[in-house]
Amino acid sequence: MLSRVAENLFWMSRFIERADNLARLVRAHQTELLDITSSHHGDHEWHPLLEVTAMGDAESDEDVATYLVSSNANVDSIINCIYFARENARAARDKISSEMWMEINSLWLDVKNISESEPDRHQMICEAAMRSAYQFTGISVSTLSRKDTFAFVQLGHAIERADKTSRMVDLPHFLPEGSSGSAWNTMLRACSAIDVHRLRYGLAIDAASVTSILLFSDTFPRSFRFSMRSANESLRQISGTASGNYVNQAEREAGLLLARVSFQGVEEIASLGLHDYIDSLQSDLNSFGIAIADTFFQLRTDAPVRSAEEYLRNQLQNQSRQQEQQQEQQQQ
Amino acid sequence: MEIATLGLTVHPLFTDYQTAEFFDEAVEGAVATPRDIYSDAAKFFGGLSNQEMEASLRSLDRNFVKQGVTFTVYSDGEGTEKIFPFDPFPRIITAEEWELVERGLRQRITALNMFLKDIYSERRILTEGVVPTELVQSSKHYRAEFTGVELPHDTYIHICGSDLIRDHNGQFTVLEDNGRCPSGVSYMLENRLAMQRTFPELYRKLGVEPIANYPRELLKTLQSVTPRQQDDPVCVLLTPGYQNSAYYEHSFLAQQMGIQLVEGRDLRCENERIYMHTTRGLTQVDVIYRRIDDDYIDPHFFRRESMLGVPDLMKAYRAGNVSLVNAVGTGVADDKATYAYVPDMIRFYLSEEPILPNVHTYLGSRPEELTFILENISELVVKAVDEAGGYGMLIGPESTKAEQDEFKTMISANPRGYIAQPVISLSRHPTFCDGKLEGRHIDLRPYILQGKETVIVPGGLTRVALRKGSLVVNSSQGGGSKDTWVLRGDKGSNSSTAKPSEEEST
Repeated sequence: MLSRVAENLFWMSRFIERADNLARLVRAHQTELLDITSSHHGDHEWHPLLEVTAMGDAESDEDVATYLVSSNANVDSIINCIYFARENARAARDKISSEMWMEINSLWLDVKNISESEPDRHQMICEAAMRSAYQFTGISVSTLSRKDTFAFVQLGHAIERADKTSRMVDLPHFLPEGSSGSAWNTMLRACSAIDVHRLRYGLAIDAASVTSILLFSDTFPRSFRFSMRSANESLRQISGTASGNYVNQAEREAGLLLARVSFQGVEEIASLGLHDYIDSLQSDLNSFGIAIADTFFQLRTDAPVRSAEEYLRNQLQNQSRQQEQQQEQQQQ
Repeated sequence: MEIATLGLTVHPLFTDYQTAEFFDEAVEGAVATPRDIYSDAAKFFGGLSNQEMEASLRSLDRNFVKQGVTFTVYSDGEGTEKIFPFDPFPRIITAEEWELVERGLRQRITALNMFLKDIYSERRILTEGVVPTELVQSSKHYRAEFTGVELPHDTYIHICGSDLIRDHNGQFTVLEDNGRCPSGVSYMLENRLAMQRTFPELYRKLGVEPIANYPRELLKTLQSVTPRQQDDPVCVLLTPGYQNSAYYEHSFLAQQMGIQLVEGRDLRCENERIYMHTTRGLTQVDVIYRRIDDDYIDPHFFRRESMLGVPDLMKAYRAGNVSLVNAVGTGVADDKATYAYVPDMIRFYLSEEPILPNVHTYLGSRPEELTFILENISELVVKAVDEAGGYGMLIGPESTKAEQDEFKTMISANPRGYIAQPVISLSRHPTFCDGKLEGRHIDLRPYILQGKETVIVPGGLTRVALRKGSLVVNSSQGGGSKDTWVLRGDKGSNSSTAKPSEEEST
């Protein structure tokens, strides 16, 4: 597959997932968070949302809901995510199924045509983004062969979902003391996890129960761990590498991160605290994203590596070469 | 029997229909009566209620927008996606008419390719004085530096879109040949799908020649010109990118053929070979169906500022390691002044008389014709030789004195750059305008493929000048399109034994 097309597919899928997650947050916020924050912060009741979506530094005259949902100025607003998803789909149009294209194209035309004077505009955009994300996933699962195209679509989807779910778990950090109870509710609602939680843990919601579902569950499809497992599988679909093995940096980072959340979560939260733990997951996710770009999207003229052994040998050779160079420089 | 039913009253669809002084494809006579081949279509559309018709039109439009069958119009620096307006009344051509058109087009593409091979090698037609050397050398798209490059099957133009019109006698006539990057074929294919979906009864009843094999034939043409002899040559479609007005078509064709849609930045030249940059490293490319003009295709060779092309592509091309479709330098053949010599080329290379005539053409480069053009500009259509898409054109009778003077100045300054033709009364065709039928001018662009073999799918894109009275059919100038139905020769128009269409599955 062309590297550029792989990149388009990856970002198309990321932007759809991003729009979906933002819409979920906005909607959950309207029903739950309104109560706690409005009394403390007045006009700034939405600010925790900006923090949790990493738009905290934003300078804008627009009200926060507009900024998140329909702003042209905010490149990450829902409507812009939909626009970029469509632009990427357009550039890879010959590779996705025509049904996928029609879905994403209709979504864009629909949200673009909602009049600015429509009082329900934000709600309509959020609903369209959420519904369309489900449809888009369904269509890709049922129309694409399980080859590279599907794998890059899934990869973008998984990494974005891991990113957004972990950010949502960090929401209480940005709320006033004593209000995390409702924040848990908001998160569960935004992640469609409220029913799962009730079934497993009853009505008592606390940090432990929420974190174990949203970060560490091996069965709940929006959890961080589940998403990382899916990313891992997609990478193996692309390279054909056996499970437990790796041939490139992306596979290595995915494996490391998956191992972290699968085996080490409790200890790390104990030593770092939830907020810093999530921060460090975020930073690993970032370097995973960079590894994906280096492995698949950047121009590579070297021959592809076939085994972990070969990969390791190359890396070790590079390492010792660098050390030698450093020593030489020091001697001079 | 038909005459009896039709003769009773004027057909309701055509109550106020005016053919005026034009040749009308669908009706004849003072009280517009459908021609035989159009009687089924007239009955069918006449039998639809207004609501049914409106519902059909809405469903057609919705489909085109949803599928993104669009082109981009640039104005004020901002691109807007528009759908190419579609008229549901199909243009119908009989098997006999098509047989003639097809023979004429085969003859023409063969002569054009022989001409290009000749001017880039022996130059026989020039030394024998049939075509003036000066005319070829002064053509903006002549690439002398590619003289002597050997091309598979000696084919330069692999894909040709020749625009045909019918004059006031219904005679098919060639208006121009598009031998660089002719576009529009995706609309031909999408129009057909839309018609089959929306009016399946009528389509089946008439027995229409299928066109769905076009992408397959195109791929075969591409594969037939591979420089590397191997079973599965790597063909790609090179697009300027998704901002290009024809991007929809590029992605559509790549998808239909199952080949990679690449941009310039996806390709690189190494060791005089072209490679594409994939997630698994570099893959060598054999054939490039390029939808980028010569000028922009290699910044090291042609325009330096081009960001669209592939640096050093021309090195690989000259070394014979990659084929370009169409080849470099074909623009000489679609220079509008060269056009005037195509009948002579046919006589020169094939010793045959042209089957499809040209429109009579006055060349600015011939002094006596130049005088004629300048003196009669108000009655002529003037065209710049290297423009396309309806740009650089003056329609004398519809122009103001100031516009005529402006063109006179431009022509006098650069006579070689202009030609003129009498105003042709393009045939008209019934077209739905605000709920009723009106006559609108049309042309026909068939798509001719030539590689190892020559293939022309029956029909082509019928373009309609939707503005009342307008003669300009280009999409950029308010044109629309229709599906073109070439009837099967082996059956009458009423047979219902048509074999199941192959196209349903696509």
